[in-house]
Amino acid sequence: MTELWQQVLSGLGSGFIYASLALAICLVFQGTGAVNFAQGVMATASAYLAWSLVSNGMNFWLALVLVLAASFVLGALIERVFIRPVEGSSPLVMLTVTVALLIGLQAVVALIWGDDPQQLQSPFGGGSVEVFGARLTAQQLGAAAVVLVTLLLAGAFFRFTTLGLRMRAAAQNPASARLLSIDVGRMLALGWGLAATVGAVAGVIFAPTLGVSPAMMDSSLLLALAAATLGGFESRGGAVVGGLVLGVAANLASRYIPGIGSDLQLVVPFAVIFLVLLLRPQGLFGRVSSVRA
Amino acid sequence: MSGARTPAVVRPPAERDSEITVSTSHALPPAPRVGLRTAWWTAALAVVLLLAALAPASVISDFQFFQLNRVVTFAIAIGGLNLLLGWAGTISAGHGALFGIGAYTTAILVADHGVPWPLAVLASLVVGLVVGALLGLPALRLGGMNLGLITLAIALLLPPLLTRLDWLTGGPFGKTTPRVEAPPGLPFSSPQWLFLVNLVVLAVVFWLLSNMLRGRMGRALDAAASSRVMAAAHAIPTNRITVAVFAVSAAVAALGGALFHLTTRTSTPDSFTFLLSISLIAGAVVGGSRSFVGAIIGAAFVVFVPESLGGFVDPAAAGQWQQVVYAAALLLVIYFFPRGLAGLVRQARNRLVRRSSTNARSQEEQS
Repeated sequence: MTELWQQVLSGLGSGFIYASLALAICLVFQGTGAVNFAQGVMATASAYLAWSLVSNGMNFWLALVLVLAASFVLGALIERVFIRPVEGSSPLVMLTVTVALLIGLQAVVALIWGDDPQQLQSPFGGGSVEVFGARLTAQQLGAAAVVLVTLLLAGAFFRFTTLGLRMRAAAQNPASARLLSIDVGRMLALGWGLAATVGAVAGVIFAPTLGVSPAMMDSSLLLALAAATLGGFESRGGAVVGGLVLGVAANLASRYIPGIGSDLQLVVPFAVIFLVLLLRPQGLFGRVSSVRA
Repeated sequence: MSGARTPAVVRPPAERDSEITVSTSHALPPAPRVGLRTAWWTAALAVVLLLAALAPASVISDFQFFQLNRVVTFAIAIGGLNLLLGWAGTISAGHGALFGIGAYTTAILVADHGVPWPLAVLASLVVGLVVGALLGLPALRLGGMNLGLITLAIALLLPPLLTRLDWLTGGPFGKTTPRVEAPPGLPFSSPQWLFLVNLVVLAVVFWLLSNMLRGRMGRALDAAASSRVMAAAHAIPTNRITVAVFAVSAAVAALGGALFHLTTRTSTPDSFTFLLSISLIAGAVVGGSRSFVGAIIGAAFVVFVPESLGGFVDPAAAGQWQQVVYAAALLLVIYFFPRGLAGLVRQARNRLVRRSSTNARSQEEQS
């Protein structure tokens, strides 16, 4: 029983990575209608940036703040430069652009920082904490807490601020938003910037466990895409819940189902998506929309 | 065109040659112009085949034939992918894996069961068709982009699976098969013979596909890609054609993979990674995803561009530069030549034609 509890908790721990990336993917999808395959590698770039700063002697938390700001700018810039020219195109075109961004950015990261994995020291020290009989490292607990706070902040931002409301309006109905004198283009760029920031939080805070390498976010990206599908791309909360569920499911499956090792762990999220989508095609929290031709 | 102004009317499907005409608010893309003038293309193919068959080793070396074989087999797979990208309006991030499944099917049948290679290649085609249909089925519920996500799963799962199932696939070392020799009596080297075979297969496959796309299937796909709801309202079985086209596309990719294995003779799990799937997408987009000539151009891009990079950059970083070039090419083509290089070629040709005869107005030019 303790063993199961332990697995659930550490699954939740990695679930927070997927949850925040999934939230970032949802933010971008709601704004620009693009499934952003480059979200993971954008977080990787942020992690490398943080690693560079910290290994040059900067304090971890100061580095985190700087990197978040830089990620925001970078995300908004990517929207302006690469996405704006194809704004409003078919999802297929968007997808191709983000795939191009994925392979391009990943290569650029590898060219700048090299292929060898780097180690980032955990800001929470090497201690561990006991939670109802299960052992968690301080890093696991601290990272989860930071991500949780980020997710809550993002939620509050969209719920309670005017800017958040404007962004939701621009995402939901660009034409009407424009009539209400909302600068839709700027909102989209802000959305990308915000998504990049949320992704960067996950990338930097989990870097000590994931290790900093060009491919560090690859499997997390997949699980995040799976999580977003699971929760429904339209639902921010759903994406977060989806990420946590998948984190636990993947962890439990690789521990208890014989034949699924860590190399085939990816089977789990896709099996879950299959099942969910066969029963609820709109995702767990998505709404069915009726379409008019 | 008669009836071009009629609002949203589709003649009953019973009429063989019925054209789907719709109100301008959902204007369809122009009817697919895949209709290659068959006679012209057959002649071109015959000339290339003849040249390749007669070329002495001093003109085209075996290595060059090997490279050309890679181009042709990739072109077949990209042609299959074009069905999805260019016509069905969906994406497959897993065609590299389907390519790999085709390659491994042939490799296993030839190496372990002594099946003659032509039969093994046919078996690959069938396996591809079945796998494609199985992948296409959930797409009925998922639709559009979600299919892309599912195919991503097989792209990523295939290499570890191939390594894991070593009793079947030979594990990390893969499978090696003997060289395919020309029939006794014919004076061809092995790569030369394979080139002739591959080229004929490519021609037959593209001819069949373009016939399929020129007919009702192509129009139905175009209608469904522009609006599923509208297509369904016009009695097009959108679900069924999605699965069918996915299965055909997968079968063609597997066929390309099978021929690719005959060329390289060794298939290992890391020949068929996610990067291969990406390369195929890059080839399809760069060449032009609504054109089979584009598939060949795209395949040449995928094979030769990374290689020509080798001379300029540090070999250790060659893989990264290859990715950068793919990314840049994808973005440039999407921004500036949405119809790919094939579209560019067509445009140039049309301009030439128009200059020489003022009457020749081509329809493609307008769109």
